[in-house]
Amino acid sequence: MKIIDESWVEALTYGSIFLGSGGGGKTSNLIPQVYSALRGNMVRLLSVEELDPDAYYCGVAMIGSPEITAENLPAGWEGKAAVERLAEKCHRRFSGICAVEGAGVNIFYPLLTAVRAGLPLVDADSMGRAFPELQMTTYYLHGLSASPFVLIDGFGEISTFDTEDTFFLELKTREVIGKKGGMGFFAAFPKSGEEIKKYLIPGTISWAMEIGSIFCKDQDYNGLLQDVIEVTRSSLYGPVIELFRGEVTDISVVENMSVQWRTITLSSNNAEFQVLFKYENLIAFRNHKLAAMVPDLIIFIDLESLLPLNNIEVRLGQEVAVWGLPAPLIWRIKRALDLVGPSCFGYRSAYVPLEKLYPEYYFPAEVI
Amino acid sequence: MDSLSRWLRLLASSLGGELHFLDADFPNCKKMMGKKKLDVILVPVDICSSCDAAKGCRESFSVLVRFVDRLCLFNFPESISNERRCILLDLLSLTVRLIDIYNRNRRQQKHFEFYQKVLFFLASRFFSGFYLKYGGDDFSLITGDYPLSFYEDLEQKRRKLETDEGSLESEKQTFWFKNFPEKGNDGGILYWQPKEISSLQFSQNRSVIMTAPLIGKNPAFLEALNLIKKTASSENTILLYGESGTGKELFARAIHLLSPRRDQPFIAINCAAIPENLLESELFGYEEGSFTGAKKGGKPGKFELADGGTLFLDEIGDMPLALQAKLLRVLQDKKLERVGGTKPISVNIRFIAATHRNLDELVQRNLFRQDLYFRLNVIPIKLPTLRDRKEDIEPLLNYFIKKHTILQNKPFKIFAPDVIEFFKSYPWPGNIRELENVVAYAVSVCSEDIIELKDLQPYLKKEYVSNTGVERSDHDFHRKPVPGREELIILLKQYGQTTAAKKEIARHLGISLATLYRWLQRYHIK
Repeated sequence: MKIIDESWVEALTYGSIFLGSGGGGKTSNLIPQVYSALRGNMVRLLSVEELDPDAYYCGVAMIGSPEITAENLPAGWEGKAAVERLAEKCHRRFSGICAVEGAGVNIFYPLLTAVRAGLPLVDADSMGRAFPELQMTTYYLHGLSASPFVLIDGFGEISTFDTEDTFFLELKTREVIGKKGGMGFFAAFPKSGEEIKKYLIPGTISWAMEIGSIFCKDQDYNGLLQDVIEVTRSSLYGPVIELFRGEVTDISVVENMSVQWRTITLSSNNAEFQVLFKYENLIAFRNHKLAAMVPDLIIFIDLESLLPLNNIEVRLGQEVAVWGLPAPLIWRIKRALDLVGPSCFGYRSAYVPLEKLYPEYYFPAEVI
Repeated sequence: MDSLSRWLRLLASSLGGELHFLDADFPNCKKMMGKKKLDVILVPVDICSSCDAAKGCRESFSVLVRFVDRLCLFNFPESISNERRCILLDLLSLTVRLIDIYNRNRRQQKHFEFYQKVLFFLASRFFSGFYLKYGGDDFSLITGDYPLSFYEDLEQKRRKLETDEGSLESEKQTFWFKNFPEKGNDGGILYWQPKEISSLQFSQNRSVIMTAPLIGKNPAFLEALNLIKKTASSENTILLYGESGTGKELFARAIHLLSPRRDQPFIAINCAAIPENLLESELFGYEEGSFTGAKKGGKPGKFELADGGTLFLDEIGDMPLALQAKLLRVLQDKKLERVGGTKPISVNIRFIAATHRNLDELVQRNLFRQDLYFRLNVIPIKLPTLRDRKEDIEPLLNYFIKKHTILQNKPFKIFAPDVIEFFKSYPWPGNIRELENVVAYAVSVCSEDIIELKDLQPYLKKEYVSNTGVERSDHDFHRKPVPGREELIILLKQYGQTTAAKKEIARHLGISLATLYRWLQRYHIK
């Protein structure tokens, strides 16, 4: 069992931004709160092997606009209240809290809730990266329901849903938070230790910490890239690949077939690199040829600070690198691609994995 | 160093923090972490011409950006007076002014504009961070207003600083300290300059990363990996110990790529896979007419082909005694003679040998020369078996699934959780090679997204778990029984006797080709 204390926060911040793949909310909003909560406190981090198969655990996350979150900083008490209401509803005691989205703010919000509720955090999540919708989880992939679902909206009001279909639930929660405060906190997915062990992506919290700690080291860009490659290659993801390095020359919005995309364009030595995103980075092109696509992760690295960036932090004139990280295998099987593949975001094309785009990098012995 | 520490202490106390002396690793975030108060502000200015102008400037600024970023997020002071705030902003402003001077001198206005933008970004971040944490205090941006002559004076004096008593040099960076001329001994500027980082080291490691799928987090595996990183650049002979399928050749390739010989040939030869009567000519080459069937003009051996590079001798324990003596001579004298040749040929080779056998025991049984053993066993590296690397099974499965689905152009699949559990308790007599075979089989045969245990039953049951069913997972089942002579003969009849057929038989048995040859040799099957 690991213990999360204040010393984890910085590394976890960078790791969470890295796994946010450009999105996942603005992590820095929660940092002062997390520091304050962890001062003199610590949270137990349970690996999936340590879970009691018969005990119950629930998922916690926050949803809504990062801008509104910045103005109304959550303290974790909302999450605690939601967990308590869910426990009442299920007639169960929860033995720990799971991250639903192991990236961005949703690594920290469950952590904050765990501190407030005095519960351990489970070292696993149901996305392994950031995704924008509730049904984009391994729970849904394996046919497990999110309900009962307790939502506390921006006005502090509690709503409970028993909707079986997670997509419908997604619509309902969006509707509520759209009307009430623009943000919300939920507790849902009450599952047994056995189910969590079977269906969640294991070790994502400690892995975010491991990745983030590389960014804490003082080093040059090449050293950073090399270290991240080393850590990622023995993970469930696979080695990171540098897709491009250049200066940001354009940030704009394009609309196609009523789908709105935001784009960031980089240039270097007559080459052009374009990243298309909505919340998370979704597709990348190099000189108009496909360079990476969701569910693989596309990550911006600021070449000045050598830190991962959210796409909303990218600015004109900034020098950045773009890295690709292969998605965990679970997101690449056919029925998962029906949930999180490029077509789910409006790009009507079959998924091409990074390893297929760069076989000489990923499987050199077989190619040469 | 007195003036340096005095200045830092003053600065730290003026900002409500404590002084923690900077060491060579600064800015080391971990040290800064955990302290609730602002400790020191470093003004990183590179006005030294010893490194590339623009690059030096950029790297200095990069440190500032990171420092302020962390300051805002992680190291915010509990309370800070207006006066102290001004000092901090002065310092930020000062940095930009110095960079300005630096850039104007070098006509690099473009860079200055960029840094100015970053500064404003940082300043706004600084305020918003403070606001978020402590609520709506009233801030105003106050910039320092030092006379221009001050900055120009600094530029003129920069060379002198290098010999100043306030300089501190470490492996990665150099610090200089200079008092503010206007403020006597009470203040000053700390200069920071990163040193060039050798790109060679990166390219060395990069080549290994790109070419060798050495995957795992097991401590014994990582120890072996660290050992090859440490020893690869030396000329010492490395002896790799490990069961069949543990990745000995991958390690040998990694050593070669990490060594200064990486651009020279890497030649691998399996001493057990080549018939004894051919091994000598394969290794040493031969002269024209040295035996019946010898090529006209002769043929260079593997030793000659590996000249300047690395020769990997796999299954060295299976090398015939007569050849061991000849090999010893090459190791000692760096010279060899072709079969049928008379004049010695000098070679420059780095040797890596590997074996799955206990060479010590072979020496005692007089099956391996003791002098050769000592020659080879300079850096012994033991590779762990897969059954001792349970934690690496999942990452390895991931790698092989990706590899085989992409190379075979099949849809992605995953193993069901109970299959992974089964794999973790399975003894893997064929080690990683066997694991890869299982994955290749599953990817080829299974049509569903999720590979269940029942899908592997025909493969696993037949080969490894006879009589007891797939679910058997007892740990005492360490080695697969060696097939009998009759079984091997039947397989040879079934598959054929070509090398390709033997490879197929080896795959079928979950063993390496070398092991198959060894078994054929043991049963005297020709």
